[in-house]
Amino acid sequence: MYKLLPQISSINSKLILFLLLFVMATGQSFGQTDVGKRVSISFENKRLIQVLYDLSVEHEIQFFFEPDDLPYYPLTGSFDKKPIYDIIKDLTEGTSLIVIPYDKKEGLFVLNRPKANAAYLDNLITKWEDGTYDYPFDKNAKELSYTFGKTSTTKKQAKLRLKLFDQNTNEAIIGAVISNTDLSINGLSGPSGNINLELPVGQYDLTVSYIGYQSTLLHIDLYDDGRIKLPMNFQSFLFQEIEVLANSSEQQLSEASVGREIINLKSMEAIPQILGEIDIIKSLETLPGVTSAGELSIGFNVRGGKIDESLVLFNDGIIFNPTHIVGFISAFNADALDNATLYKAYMDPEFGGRGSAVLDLKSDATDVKSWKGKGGLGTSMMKIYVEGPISKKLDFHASGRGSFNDYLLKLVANPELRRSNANFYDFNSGFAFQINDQHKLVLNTYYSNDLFEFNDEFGFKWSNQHLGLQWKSSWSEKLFSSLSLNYGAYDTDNFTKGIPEAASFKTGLFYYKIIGSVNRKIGADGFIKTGVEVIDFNNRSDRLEPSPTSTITENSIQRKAGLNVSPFLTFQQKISRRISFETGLRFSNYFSNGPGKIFSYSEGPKTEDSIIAEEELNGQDGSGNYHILEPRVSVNYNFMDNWSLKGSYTKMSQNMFQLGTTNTTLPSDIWIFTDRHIKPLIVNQFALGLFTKYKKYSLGVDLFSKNSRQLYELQGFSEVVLNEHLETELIEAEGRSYGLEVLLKKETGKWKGNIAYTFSRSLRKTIDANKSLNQGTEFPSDFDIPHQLNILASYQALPVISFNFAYIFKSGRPTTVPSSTIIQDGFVVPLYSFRNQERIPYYSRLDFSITLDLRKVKQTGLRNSFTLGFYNLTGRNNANNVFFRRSAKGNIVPFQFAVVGSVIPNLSWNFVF
Amino acid sequence: MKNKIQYLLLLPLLCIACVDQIEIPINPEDPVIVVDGIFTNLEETQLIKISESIALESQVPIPVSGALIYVEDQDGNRISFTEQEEGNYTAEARAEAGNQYRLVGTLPDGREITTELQETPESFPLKDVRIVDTLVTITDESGDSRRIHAIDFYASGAVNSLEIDKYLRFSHETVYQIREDFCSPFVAAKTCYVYNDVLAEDINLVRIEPSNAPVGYNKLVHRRRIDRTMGELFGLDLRLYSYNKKEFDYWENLKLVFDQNGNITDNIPARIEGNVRASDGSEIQGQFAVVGKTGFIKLVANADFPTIALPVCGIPGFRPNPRPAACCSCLVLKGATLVRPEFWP
Repeated sequence: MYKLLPQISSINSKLILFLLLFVMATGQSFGQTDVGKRVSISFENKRLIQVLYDLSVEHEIQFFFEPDDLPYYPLTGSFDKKPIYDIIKDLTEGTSLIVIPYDKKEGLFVLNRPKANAAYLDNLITKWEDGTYDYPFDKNAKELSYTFGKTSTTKKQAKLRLKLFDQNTNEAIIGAVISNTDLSINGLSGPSGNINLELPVGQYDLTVSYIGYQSTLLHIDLYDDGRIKLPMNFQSFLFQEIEVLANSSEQQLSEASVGREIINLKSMEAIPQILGEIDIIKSLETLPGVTSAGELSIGFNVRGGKIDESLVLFNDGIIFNPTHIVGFISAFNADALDNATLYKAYMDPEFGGRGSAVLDLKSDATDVKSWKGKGGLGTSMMKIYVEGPISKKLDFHASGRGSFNDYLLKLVANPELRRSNANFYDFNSGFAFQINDQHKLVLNTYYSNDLFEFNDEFGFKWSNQHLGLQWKSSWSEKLFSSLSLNYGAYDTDNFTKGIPEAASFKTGLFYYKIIGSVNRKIGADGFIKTGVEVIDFNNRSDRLEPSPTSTITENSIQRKAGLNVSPFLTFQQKISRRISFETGLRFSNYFSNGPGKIFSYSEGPKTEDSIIAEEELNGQDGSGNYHILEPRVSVNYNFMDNWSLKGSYTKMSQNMFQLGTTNTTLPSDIWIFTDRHIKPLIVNQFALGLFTKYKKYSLGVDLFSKNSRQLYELQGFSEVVLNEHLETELIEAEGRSYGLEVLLKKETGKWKGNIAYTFSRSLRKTIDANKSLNQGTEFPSDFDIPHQLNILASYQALPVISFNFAYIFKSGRPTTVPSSTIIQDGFVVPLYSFRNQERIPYYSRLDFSITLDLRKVKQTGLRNSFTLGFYNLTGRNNANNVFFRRSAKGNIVPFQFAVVGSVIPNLSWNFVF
Repeated sequence: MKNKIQYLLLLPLLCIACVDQIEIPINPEDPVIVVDGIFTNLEETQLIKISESIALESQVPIPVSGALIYVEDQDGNRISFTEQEEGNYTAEARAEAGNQYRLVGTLPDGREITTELQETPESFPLKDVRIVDTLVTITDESGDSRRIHAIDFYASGAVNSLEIDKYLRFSHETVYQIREDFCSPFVAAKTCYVYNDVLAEDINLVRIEPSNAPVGYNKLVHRRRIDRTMGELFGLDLRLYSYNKKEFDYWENLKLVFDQNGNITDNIPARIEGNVRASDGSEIQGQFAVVGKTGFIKLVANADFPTIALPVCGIPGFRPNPRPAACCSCLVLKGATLVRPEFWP
């Protein structure tokens, strides 16, 4: 039984009286018409119009309605021997629709009340009878027959080529499936809508299907090569947009890659967020193996790796700080994203440059059939997204978001907040030009900007920029290529005000990136890809710019950067029905470049005092070149139909690192590059995974082990600002991480959700001959989180109302605490112990939201959804860090700093048009 | 209605960050020896303190008695320090310009300690200390803010030109006077001098770069709340130490761990490393520094600033009620002594 909305209390009595009289005038009563007939029916995720159609076909009953009046959210239900009239009443209860029997034909009116009068009813009946209105789909597949050649042929094999396209728009249909009943024949349409099969001569019944389109049954007599150009009909009412489950269980069972998570962008709406805004970066933390330092964290940690070991790509552009407001929300408008994939273990050799993970985000301007958009307004920000066809060949999309915290901050009583700012905006756009059937050009842009300032005392500004041009080609049915040219930049400004030493510290870098690849299909289930990625990194100078009244002087230094040239090769093949594998090789070649200074040191520890020579580097530094082979392999073995076992080995190298001396990674942390003194990080990861699916549940268990070498830890009291010889502050170390990840999912039904548990350790040990931390013993890394539990649950109380819960628990991060005090010239000073010997208190947070989603109530026009959320429902003060300072009595006492110290409610309005 | 909407909009922003005192398990470690020594270029009593590190909740140093302490120059000439009080080793001496000095000693447990030789830095002028009567906002340890009347002490000094970097640290002692009331005909009213009654607030460092033009500093060195302790006479004994860079860096690192306030820009703390080495490689904390020194005494009476502050024990007609115990026995105050500062008028 479904109550869509609370029953409408006021009923237009005159209207009902009229309709009843209308019915009575026909001389019929309920019990005498077929609408009173008792039937049994079950359905899952079907739209109302489909249910009406099924009833009309099965029980020869007519329904009269305006197709646009019917809601299109999916319904699931089961009725046992219930009158048809009552069934329809139940399905429409709570909506503005009323159900009235019509006796002249065995049928029912399903009406939107305000329009109901006698003339209207007559008109409606006429439209159904003369065919003006009809169900906008055919339940049955379209059937077509073809004959190629003669039965007397001597050929043993013949080629069948199909080209699929949208009947209305002529656009190629990509990803359609062709198969026979026992699935011994199956294929997918490629970028041009082509399917190529080579079959023994004979007779075939093949079904071509694609979501949202009418299926086609082909009866083919194949005795010679044949070509079929097949138009397909788009059936909007069949297009169940919300149930496209990315990373579905079936996909998990069959794909070779271990540790690849395709993010279900739609399901992110069910995760309550701090500002009511869908957040891709925060949503990642619900996955096992992914964590962060808390609310103030400008990135995420994967399987014990640092934030800078995770590469964030947006349309091939490198994003160095993917967050706003120092980590509160991500810097991407989720409405603009089409794909989001996180690689935690094995990844295509096309990806590289970081040690732990790659988050690959894409927005796609192509295949937009009409102008539409989305937007939203929350308690502190707003957003808009539009997409549409500029012409037959040119598609466009753009999105923008902006905050308006400043206005709100000025209203707060706290004077420190009144003098603070926390605003941001981001914008991205895409133009896709289809040159012809084979070639497409895509232009992407992205820009984000942030200002975070506290009490007119200190603050940060930063911006990300990206401009990219992609050329995608389909040279034949088997040969594809892609070329991408990119420019990107990241700039930061860390400033202080109101003190004698007031100044701005500015850093930044920019890059040019080219990545090209050629992909050739091998057989039906394999491909080989080769390509090269070239990235030319450049550092802007680090500049200290004093304010006009500052007591310090201006200063700047120039850091070296480098050129990275990495050819790669990938090979994927399905060996049998049960075994598939993917392997590849990336060859990373790094060349350290100036401008910048090179220092030479005497024997012993590298310190400022041991510098014996200094030279300016303007070209390439031959001693700063590194060539590293990165082999990768991943194997998937399916057994017992619903089980798969996967294993992988991945080697990664990394030539750029983010350095900072604070507890939290800040926007002002500088990026440095490998050179003759600082070697590239090398990470080897082994992973093993077991996956199974049973009815609506899926379970995945992953084990991983990583070892890292040539990584560096900052020594205590390091100075990184304007330090030209950072190698004097670094201590070489090695690291190891290992863990177990469990993910249990329920993907369908009224209750949906998942439970993710991770046990993992991330440990470090310095191996430098001259310096050490913790006397060379192993210690937990800054992001060693032994236990993490995430529970997401969503209850679809009604088709338009859902309740969403999210709970996260994680062990406290390691911290360094004092173990005693010393007195120096009257100052009582804490004496700290070895690094990371204690932990801050554990993190526990419960979030809740309720969503009223009216976007599916109708198909056109402005449609709304409203979300009321509560972040940190229990109001727990989760420590971001622990620090020690003197009490009024003078002794050293511990304090914790919690970013969010109470419940944060949020209200947001989202709309589509 | 407008106010209601504004309130609802503001609700998320009212839930700001929180700083709370917590309990956290601390594993105490074995005490280590701490050296706290300054050897100045002025002819005065030089003081080197030897103590042990103490528990986190304590503030009372544990002095180490019975050590043999010397300061040795580059030629091996030694100045012997004698233990006047437990853990305090003194000598009447000075660091000569152009010489280098280091600490040499033997601890009671037989370990020998030493430092590297340090140049004697030149002093930097400390020309003037002026006061400013001001209103300031202070935030206590629980994050609550309030505004108070205070006196700011600004120190200034300059040179016509500077050839090398100067690394300076301010240090000070405070003292105020309290006269007892006539409480008993059998006990004479005393005058006490209360030293360093408030905690040292800041490690005050200044770095001055070389310049061909006049260069100097004008720095806030002390802030004192205007209360009854400033009702009679208040004295600031300000010292300016000029360090070698390595010893100055030690104080910069000390400041990083001293200034933690939970800010997101707090540096990751680490264990301080001093410049004293033990013969057996064991850890010795603290520092021995050879410094150039200048000093300035600033005496402040209530008449010197506009805000009225009555003495601790009041004046006739304006007595505090209840009368503080110190008005009959001023030695109950922490840091109180009958010893009058040499610079007292």
